Amino acid sequence: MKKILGVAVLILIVGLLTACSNSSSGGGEKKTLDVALWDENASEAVDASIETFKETHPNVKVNVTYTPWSDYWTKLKTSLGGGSGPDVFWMNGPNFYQYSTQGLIKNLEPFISNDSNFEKEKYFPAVVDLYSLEGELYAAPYFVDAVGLFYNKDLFDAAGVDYPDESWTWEDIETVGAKLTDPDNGTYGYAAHTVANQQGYYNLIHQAGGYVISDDKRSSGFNTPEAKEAFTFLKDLIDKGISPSTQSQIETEPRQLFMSNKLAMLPSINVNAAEFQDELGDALGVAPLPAGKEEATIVHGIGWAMNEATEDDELAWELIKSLANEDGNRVIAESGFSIPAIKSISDVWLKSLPGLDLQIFIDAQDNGVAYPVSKRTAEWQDVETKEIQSAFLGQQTIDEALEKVGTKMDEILKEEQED
Amino acid sequence: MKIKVNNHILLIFGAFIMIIPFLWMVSTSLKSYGEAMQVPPTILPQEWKMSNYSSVFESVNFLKYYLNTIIVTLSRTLAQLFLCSLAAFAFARLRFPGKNIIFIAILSVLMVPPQVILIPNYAILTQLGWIDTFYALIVPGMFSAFGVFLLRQFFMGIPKELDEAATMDGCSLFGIYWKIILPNSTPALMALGIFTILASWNDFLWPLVMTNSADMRVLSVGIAAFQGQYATDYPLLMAGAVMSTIPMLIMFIFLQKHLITGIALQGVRR
Amino acid sequence: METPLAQRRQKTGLISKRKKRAHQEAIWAYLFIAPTVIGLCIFYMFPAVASFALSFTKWNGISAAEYIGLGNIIALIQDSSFIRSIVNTTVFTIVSVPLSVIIAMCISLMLNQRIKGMVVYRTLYFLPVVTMPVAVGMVWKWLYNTEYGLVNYVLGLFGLPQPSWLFNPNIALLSVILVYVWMTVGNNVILLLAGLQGISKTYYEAAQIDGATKVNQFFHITLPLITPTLFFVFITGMISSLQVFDLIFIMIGDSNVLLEPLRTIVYGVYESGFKYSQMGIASAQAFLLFLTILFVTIIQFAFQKKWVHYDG
Repeated sequence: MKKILGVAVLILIVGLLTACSNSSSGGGEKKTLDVALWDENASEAVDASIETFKETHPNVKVNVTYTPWSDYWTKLKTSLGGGSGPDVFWMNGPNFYQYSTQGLIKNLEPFISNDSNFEKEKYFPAVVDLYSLEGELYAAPYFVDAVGLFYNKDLFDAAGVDYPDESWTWEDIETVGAKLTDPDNGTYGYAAHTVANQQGYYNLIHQAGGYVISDDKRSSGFNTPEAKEAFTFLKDLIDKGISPSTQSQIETEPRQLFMSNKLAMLPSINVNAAEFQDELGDALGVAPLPAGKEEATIVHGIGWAMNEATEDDELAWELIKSLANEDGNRVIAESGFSIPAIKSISDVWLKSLPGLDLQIFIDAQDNGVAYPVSKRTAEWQDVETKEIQSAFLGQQTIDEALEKVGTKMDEILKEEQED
Repeated sequence: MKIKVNNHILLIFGAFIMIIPFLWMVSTSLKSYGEAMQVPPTILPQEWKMSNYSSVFESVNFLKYYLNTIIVTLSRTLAQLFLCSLAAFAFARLRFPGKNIIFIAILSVLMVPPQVILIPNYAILTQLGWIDTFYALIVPGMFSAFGVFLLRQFFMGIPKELDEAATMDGCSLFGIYWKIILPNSTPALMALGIFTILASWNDFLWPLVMTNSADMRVLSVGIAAFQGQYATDYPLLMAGAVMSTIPMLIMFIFLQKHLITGIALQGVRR
Repeated sequence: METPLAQRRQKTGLISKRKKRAHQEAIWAYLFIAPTVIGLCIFYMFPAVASFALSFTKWNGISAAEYIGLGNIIALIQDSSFIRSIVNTTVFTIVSVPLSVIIAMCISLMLNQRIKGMVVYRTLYFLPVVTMPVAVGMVWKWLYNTEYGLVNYVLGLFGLPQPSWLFNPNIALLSVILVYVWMTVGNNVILLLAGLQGISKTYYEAAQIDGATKVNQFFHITLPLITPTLFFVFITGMISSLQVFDLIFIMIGDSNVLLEPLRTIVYGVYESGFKYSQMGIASAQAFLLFLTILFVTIIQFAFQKKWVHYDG
């Protein structure tokens, strides 16, 4: 025992020493930039851009951290609030207002005006708007995305039905979906997203002629006949067994079912296309979302934001530029991850995943519907997802849920007008 | 005789319920996703998919999680064994002013649930600049009121004659602690050691709150984050779960005698 | 013959020598306890007091804390989520602890009969205790899966109903309680078995001579003599089940709809403190938890005279 303890103390001391050297970063002249994002599928492109950045900045060390989506915003907020956190990180629409208005991220406009290499005009206007506060840009657009209908050709062939095309409507989902459904095999025809909003019901509300949030950001579109029509349609598909139920969507994500040949049609954002193709190969196809009264697909995009408390903002800006300029956009396009935010490079992306008609996602950038945001998006989305899921789990009727979401969202929107 | 047979049936049934989740965890971890989603489920994988395990290592830095957990667990355990036994020796053998009051104060720490001290500690560690470093994971866990109490009780049971003989031989106080008390308390030290290893290995809330970066994650936080990422890819999740629990299960099977004595000691002593 | 003076001189010499030794001993003692005492003060005692003080402040963890008196307590009482967490934690404790203890009692009684393979059984029952709670949560979430889970498959084989364990708000908490019982029963078995083995055989021999039945022996010998261990098992079991977090956290995952049926007090502390950066409210909840634990412990000790037998 004695000997063990002796060794023990030794190891302990060594352990503490190594702990020391870990926390006090190396020393020397080397500067460090921390980068954070959530999607590891983007790592290929991000790493390539960082390598380019290092060529011109050999003394800078760049650490990239991938935090899973479920923890990303909690961890980011806690660390930024504590005056630390990554220097450069991904920003999305729902969280943008909160971070920019609370002064957690830097206004990029001063850097842009001193820098002839960065032109806002090159980017898709929708995503520039998304990350602007009173006309000033707070996050450099990185990529844009849209929703399309992915399908499994094998399952269509087996059922002997034609693949979806741009002429499809809601009716086709129902009639063809029913043919593709095979309860004995556990295969579903279509995923009626009631858990995912961007890929699911947001599109349907707009297709029914409704809206999620009014253009003046003052009223909710949930408590309207159009929204009700969209949700009734989804419920119908679930009740008929064409789509997995809400509960099983939570327990077993539809994209997993899709990738294991148990789901024929899945509305999903183009960011997932590469992963789907890896898994399904030539069996993967994609078509525009089927239309309701109208055609509509939600478009969104991701930007690079800078920590307000970053130590060397010029350096951080240089890194952001490497990621979001033409070169950065080209690598993200080549990797097939998503549509580059710079319009002129989108053709590169078209060729990244041979065999898929990616043009539909690019077309969507011009005629799509912007992802709904207001200052307190996260807050009303919390209410929205909770109430809608509980309705689909049978804890209340859809009417009750939509009324609650409408009322609470209106209250939040009213409060935010007064902020 | 009849009663004994029935008992065995009941006990085997109970043991079955205890062990099934483990077997199912291992079995799922070796299936392809499609097979895991099969109805009716297959008991054993049709095609053994060992690649789930390598996928876990590819998709997250599992090796780093292991290393972090081992560093934290070892440092905490060794420090606790040393510091607690030192203090326990003083309380069991030495006379000094304020002894009882200090001991009672230490015992009062036992009453405080760990969640209560979480938030002030977060502030303290932020002030020290220790958030997201090994210090935050190790240093506060080096001290244990429970360890002092457990060891003191045990040390009290060691015959005083041994100390006296050593004093006659010119042994210093530290010498008595080192040469007499420690070698005679192996069971208690083993028990405390195993308790600490288990607590540290399985700890979750503390490392969850005190670390941010992926490089500082310990296994528990790592596999929870893994669940956040691969929400319903069950074969992959189970492979992660298997890998994070195996070391403790092995340790338990080899050292269970000591652990069980330790647990039984607590219950009887009080 | 020595003079009184010499005697006295020798005595004082002895005293001073003894004093010196005592003095030295005290210095050593302080040195030995210093690291632990200082560590416990910084990371345990001071934070415990600070937590109490922070309960009366509004604090985001960064800027200066602002004293708001009972503001946090009032806000909490009006917050339906907090009330829900209190109810859930109470139900969790009241159901899980007795259930776990009763099952453990049955198992340890069976194991105590010099049964063959006792060590193997004991090992198997104890395995869940040493398993990482995060992993336990993940495995059970999979076992509970409504469509593909093993539990519902087995129930289906016997033609039994297949509930949606976690997604039916009426049974979600019960589902987690069952997992918790599964996790803790082994620990209680070890403790109770140690208690049972400590009971002297002579009691049973005497009872057999008197012709007492097995049932009689249980109620008149075993049960009274095991009460001190039962008391310990109950107290420690309640304290730890009031603090349940890991399992709940994993079971909830990032699902919005599981949050309310499953939230516990410690989950609330985590959520307020580290999701919303409301350290004051989080401290208030943590401190209320401390008071609850203290209260439960005191009540248990107060009532122990009524049922715990320390003789024998």
